[in-house]
Amino acid sequence: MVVIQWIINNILTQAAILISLIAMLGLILQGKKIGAVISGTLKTLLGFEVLSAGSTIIQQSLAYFAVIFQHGFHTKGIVPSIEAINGQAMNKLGLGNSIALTLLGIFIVNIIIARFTKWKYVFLTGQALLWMATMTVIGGHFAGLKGFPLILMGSIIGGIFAIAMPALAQPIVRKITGSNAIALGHFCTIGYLVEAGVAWLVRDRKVDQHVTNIKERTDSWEHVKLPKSMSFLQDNSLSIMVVMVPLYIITAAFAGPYWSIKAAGGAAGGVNYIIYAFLQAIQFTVGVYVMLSGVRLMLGEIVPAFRGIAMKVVPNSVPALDCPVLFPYSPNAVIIGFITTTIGTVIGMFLSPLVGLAVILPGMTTNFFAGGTAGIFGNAIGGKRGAIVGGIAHGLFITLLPALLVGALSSVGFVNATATDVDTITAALLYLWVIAPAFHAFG
Amino acid sequence: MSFWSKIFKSNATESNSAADKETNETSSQLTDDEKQQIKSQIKDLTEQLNDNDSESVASNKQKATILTQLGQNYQELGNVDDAIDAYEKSLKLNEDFGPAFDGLLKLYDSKRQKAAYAKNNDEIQKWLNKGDELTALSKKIMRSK
Repeated sequence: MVVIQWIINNILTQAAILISLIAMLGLILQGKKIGAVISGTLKTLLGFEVLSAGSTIIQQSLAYFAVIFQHGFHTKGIVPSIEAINGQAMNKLGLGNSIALTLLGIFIVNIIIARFTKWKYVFLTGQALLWMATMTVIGGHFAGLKGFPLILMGSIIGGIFAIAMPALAQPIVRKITGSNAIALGHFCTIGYLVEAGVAWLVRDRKVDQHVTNIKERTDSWEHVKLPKSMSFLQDNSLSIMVVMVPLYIITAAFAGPYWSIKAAGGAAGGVNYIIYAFLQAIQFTVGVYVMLSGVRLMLGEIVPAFRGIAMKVVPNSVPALDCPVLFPYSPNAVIIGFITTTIGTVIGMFLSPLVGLAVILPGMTTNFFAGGTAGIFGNAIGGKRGAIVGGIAHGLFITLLPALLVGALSSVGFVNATATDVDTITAALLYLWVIAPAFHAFG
Repeated sequence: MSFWSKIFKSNATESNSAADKETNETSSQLTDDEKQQIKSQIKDLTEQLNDNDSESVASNKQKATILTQLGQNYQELGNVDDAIDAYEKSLKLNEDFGPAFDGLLKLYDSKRQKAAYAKNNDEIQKWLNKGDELTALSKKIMRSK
């Protein structure tokens, strides 16, 4: 008994070890040789530690930014970064263990629903599942859940989202791809549907009323020649740098040398405060880069194991894949979606303090991938006008939703960051607005 | 059938994947004449490919177009492996969106489904990974646009 208690207290409560054990289980279930099992388990362990290191870098940079923004603009400036949220939840709040088990639980619930119902979608974007596990655990933590109920509820809600989101998007995805072979596995789907809805409302009603495939559309951005060279922004590190460097420098300039140096811990290493802000922006970018390398290393062994098992249990599944899978069908709409979403997020940034919400700074990576994919939806449903108006509405929507989460996140100890992918935010808001009040009412 | 066997045992009657069926149906719908015509087109295209052995960029694009046509012909005949091979070679020579990209996306999935019914883990992983490579290529192409 003492030994079991010791194992539980010292080994199974360590998220790094637990997640490695999950990977080991997956590798054993796949019938891998002992060498592959050992190397895969160790890689997962390393991945988790790299993720933690990246998260520490991000947190330091964000803590500095929080101070200079507060003194520069006398309001709170929140950076939308799901990586930062995941890192802080895993390490600072000690939720890593629950997140790892919820990730496994979401896999299982997804497979069970796909096996027994007509919704055959299997969500294959591992990173997105990790973000969903993170947000359901944070939501549950906020609602006061702990231990097994926290993981069980997260698994069920996350598993339902993993099926429901591809299923909701599929009628439009079918129009885009012309077949039912693939589905969309990206937790920004509610945003895509918002864009599609707005696009449908503003569409040109004189044309393309009965198209079943976007190739048949006459009113489409795909018939327009667009200037090149915007797409470099889809490179994660570059796009973050392009926004963060001017943002940090301008904020530092407004805060002035006194607060900038105070935020840097008093000395800033003798460097000029503007240069220090520049270096901190780079630090943030490095943090995200390191964290994502860790996530890739960590999931590199778990996701293939899950996919192998899922495909065998549900051989007639429709794989739900990451959003770039749709880019080939409508590349111009991706560019339009990115530009219009960015315009929407900038408008949202200025509007949100007017309605009493925190200032959410635009996140360029989300704007490119979620905005680009939303652009495809808008163009498919509402043509050129639909893509533009829908894109701006999408930008506003993905700024509003994270802003609603800021209060709850700050109250449980998150530093100056909010989540990005709107489906994961919706899951967290479900806890905040429905589950937590229900617990208080009946509990 | 017990709960666990229901979970872990796929239905034997489902052994033909939907995509596979689609391929078979397309080829079985063809008449002998049509099949013969496609085969002669394949022969012509293969000869064109052998003649066109220069390494210039223009020639690479030409070769890619021929390979894509070859892939489409193989796909019509239901010859999935040769179609995949031709499409992959085409994309290697000219990384761009188009019929080769679309064709591969569908054929990889049909191969993945077949492997899933056969419960062949290595094959499942192989075709899923190929799908991942295609998604990565999609990002790369967008970046160069």
